[in-house]
Amino acid sequence: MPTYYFRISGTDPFFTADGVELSNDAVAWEEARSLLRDAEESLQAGEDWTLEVLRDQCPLFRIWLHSEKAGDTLPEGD
Amino acid sequence: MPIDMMIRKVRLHTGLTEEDTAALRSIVSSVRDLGAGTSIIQEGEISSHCCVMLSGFSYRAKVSDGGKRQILSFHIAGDMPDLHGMFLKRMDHDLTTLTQARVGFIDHRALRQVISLRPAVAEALWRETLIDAVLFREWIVSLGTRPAAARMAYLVAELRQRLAAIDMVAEDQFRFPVTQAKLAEALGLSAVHVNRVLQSFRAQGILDIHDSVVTLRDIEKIVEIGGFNELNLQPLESA
Repeated sequence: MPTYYFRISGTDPFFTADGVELSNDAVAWEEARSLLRDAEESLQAGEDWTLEVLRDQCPLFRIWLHSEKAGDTLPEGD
Repeated sequence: MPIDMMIRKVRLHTGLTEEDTAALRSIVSSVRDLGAGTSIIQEGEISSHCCVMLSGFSYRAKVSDGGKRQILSFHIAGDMPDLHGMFLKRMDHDLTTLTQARVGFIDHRALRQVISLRPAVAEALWRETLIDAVLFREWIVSLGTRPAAARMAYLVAELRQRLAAIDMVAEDQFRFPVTQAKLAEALGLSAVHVNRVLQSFRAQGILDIHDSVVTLRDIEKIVEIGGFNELNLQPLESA
């Protein structure tokens, strides 16, 4: 079974240092979707949350959540 | 641990006379040593025996149509996880050992006979199923309202109280040979999310699960995070 690594970037970063053995990429994607619960519980208005899934060393999936709060300075060009 | 000593610890024996206890002991028709992951009884099967956990851990679970397993409860020495099988013959869920376990079996007909002669035993068994329901209600609240960290904290606090009652907690540590995958099935989380919660608890010095041992480093914090209220499991004194 391949080893997958999950990295969450944002205010409270996380990385599965030892990796997780999962049957295949489809299962890894299911795990990634389930991890959205972490954002659901913790995302503060104006913050970002990013999840990367790697198979061995190769990036496989990425989920970006970007949030904005009215009144905060928006980046140029938005 | 000899069967007699274990049976004494069975919670339902609180308030039972020596005679009642002896009657129950006498109808344990067989004792089996089971390996980890052994099915004791499966969903859909007709049950003919109640079992009593004598050592080790087991769990109840249902598998959804989509193939996802939800663990409904963990069971420890002294528990009788399938009492309802006596009245609801066809099992609505699986009962499986989590670890190596010693399990005693009581034939339903023999149990019915004891109950018909000994109302205190009937009451005690009824109380067991009601205590079960207390735990289920808390699990529903956990799955429905608690964030991931709180679900973990609640589970650890609950297990600690139940294991302490049978002297299986020492210096805020207890053995609980559970994988992160199994914790995920119990807590309705992904295995990676369980990993994240445990990493975070370890870093904060709150809780550690390592090599089958759960170490509660900050009990107050665990109880607070989990929203745990000491379970009211003891019967009131009889009127």
